[in-house]
Amino acid sequence: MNTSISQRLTPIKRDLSPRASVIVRLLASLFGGYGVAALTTVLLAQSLPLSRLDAVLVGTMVSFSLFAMMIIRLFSLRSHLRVVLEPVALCSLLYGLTLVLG
Amino acid sequence: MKETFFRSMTWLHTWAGLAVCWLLLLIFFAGSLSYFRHEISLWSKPELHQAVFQDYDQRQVEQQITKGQAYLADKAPDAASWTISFPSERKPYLSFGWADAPKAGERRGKFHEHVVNQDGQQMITDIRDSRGGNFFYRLHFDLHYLPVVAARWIVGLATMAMLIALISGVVIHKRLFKDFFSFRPAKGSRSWLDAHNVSAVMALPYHLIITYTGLITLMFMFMPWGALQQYDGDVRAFRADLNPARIQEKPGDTQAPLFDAARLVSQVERQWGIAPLKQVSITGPGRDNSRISFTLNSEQTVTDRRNLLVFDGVTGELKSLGNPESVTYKTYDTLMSLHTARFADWALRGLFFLCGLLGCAMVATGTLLWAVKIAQKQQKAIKTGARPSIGLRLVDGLNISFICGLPLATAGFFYANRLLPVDMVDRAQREVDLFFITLAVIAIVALWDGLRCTQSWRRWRQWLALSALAFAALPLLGAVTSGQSLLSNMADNQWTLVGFDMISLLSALALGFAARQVSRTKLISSRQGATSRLNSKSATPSTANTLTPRAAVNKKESRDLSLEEARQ
Amino acid sequence: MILALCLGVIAFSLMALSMFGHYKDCFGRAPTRAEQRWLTGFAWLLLLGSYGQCIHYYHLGYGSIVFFGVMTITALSTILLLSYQAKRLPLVLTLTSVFTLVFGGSSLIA
Repeated sequence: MNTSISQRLTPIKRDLSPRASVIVRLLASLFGGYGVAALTTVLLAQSLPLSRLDAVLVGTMVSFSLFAMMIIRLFSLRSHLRVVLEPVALCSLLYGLTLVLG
Repeated sequence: MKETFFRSMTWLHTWAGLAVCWLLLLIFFAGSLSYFRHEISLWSKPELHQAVFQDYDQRQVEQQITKGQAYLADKAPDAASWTISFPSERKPYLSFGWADAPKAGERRGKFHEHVVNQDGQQMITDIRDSRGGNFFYRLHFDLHYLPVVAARWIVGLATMAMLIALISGVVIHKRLFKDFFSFRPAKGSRSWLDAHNVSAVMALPYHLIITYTGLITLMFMFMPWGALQQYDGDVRAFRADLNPARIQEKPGDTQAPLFDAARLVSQVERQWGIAPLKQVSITGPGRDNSRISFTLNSEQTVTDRRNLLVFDGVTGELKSLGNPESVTYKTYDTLMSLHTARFADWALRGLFFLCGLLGCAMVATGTLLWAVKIAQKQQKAIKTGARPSIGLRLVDGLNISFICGLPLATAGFFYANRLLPVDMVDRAQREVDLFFITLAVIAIVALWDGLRCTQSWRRWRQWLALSALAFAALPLLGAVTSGQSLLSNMADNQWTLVGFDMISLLSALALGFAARQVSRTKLISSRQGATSRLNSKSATPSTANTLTPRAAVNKKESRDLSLEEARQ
Repeated sequence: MILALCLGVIAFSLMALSMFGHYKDCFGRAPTRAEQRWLTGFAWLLLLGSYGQCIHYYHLGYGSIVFFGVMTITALSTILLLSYQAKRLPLVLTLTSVFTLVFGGSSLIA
């Protein structure tokens, strides 16, 4: 059991150093997570079938849980490529939706 | 990022926690005290401790309004607004106050409050300049000495980190229900972990709600995009929709005689029945756009919003729009009120306060656990004469500065409130300065200890004992400087003041108990050598300062692993 | 609220006792399956009773919030009692039950 752990602890050849890994995840989750949260707020505020104030309230209140979920997700992914690409993709998708539905 | 989700969450919990724990301790501590801010403010104004307290009396309301309006017209005819505050449970006195027009760069002008004596004739006008409980309230989200916007962003980010720490903490606490009642005292790092788990789980719904609703109270600052987009950037329109009863206009320029507010009481009673009023506010008195608003004392309705009836100040015509009635708005209101607990009576606020203290305990035990863990890793090295690492000394220093510093600084604030000369310039700010000076002194001593590598539990014991003494003597100081002792307060039914003294004595007991525990139990082993017997056989040379990067990585991994092992 | 607190104390004590380790700490022997089930069931019932008492005394919203506070303080007390004076737990449990019956009974009659 112990030997297999130490084998798995050996970093893969092309992977990032631990410090770089943390920095990438931190930046991706802070900016990407915030972006996803903000775009979802706008999307919900403009497309929910509620009064203007109510839609804004729902969108804004919910956004923080999305931000938290993004941070959790990006810190649990193994592939650093996905850590960068997932928030970019999500933000682009959400932005597209706000344009289409707005 | 690690091999398993579980390990990643352990890493995230540790580092999200460590990044903000000391700031969070300040926030939780000040926030918990804020539940009783009006009570603390009352204590901080001994001029109001005698012959002032009265109960709310519906029959006297009209008379009090007339008197108030006349008094304020005489004393402050050019004020931006007047406020007549009726006695309530938390502020048991009648007061007439006014706000000056804001100076350049200010949002609001200075507020002056004159309190009416019990006999209804005399006015108490020279109340000492002190922020009282409002210092702690503002401290927990505006911090201090910082521009407000910057402080709120810092607090917001810290809150986000707290939320992440909570979520990851729940995820990694696999034995949440099995270990629900587990607490094994006096077992070193195991006990700290148990204490961390217990203080977190016992008030878990509270911690989650407080953190999330904390974000919600400032959500339009952190996440304005929905509002901006939907209202095309018109912030005023948005604020008007969100808070319709709040008056936003500045006093106009044209003069116009003010309507007699007391004549509106019958209309108010028609709308609300015989319901207790909290205050009557007159904005822009004597101007053409003046407004008279009556605020309902909503007592224990779970709401954070004020219930207002607004009348035109010149004609007496009813103008107000009530608050929105939608489910969403009510949810928003409920969430806000769960954070501020303004609706709660003293018993429920006491429970909130207890949960807040558990939050402080959760953060403190977490960071102490971390310090113990690091110390254990370096135990061997330290025993053979090496210096503790910078990381360990930093954590130890921060721990003692905040965990011992906050209670002692609070005591210092209260002492300053009673001992500083009443006519001092900028007195309120000086009281606050003393709070931070006390913190700074403890931090400097910790720095000194850290630089000389003489950090030890003795210092903890000294500060804790000093705090215990300070709080034990506080009721005495209060009695000497206000002319009302604890016993006379009990005789007069001034339960707020009795409560303050009681909590002070309880805190003294708790801090004294803690001081005693620190000297009796071997809380960590390395620097006192309690477990050195186990390691004395291995006489490995010190490698503490010569770690290779690979070994450092392995050490970090093994530290995380041992955290999990300790859990199993 | 006193009744709610008492019911909470009893409920959490029973819940703790339904667990192997804590039962052993108090009574010196292992609990049987049947005992564990009775203890758990009764504990939940009493917890529900505590909630009902909170709602009855205050209204629904306010009482629900109070209930969470009641749970925190009573569960915490149980833990502290278990950790420092486990042997006294059955005594505390009995005394609280008697007090609850007397207090609850008298407020029902009055």
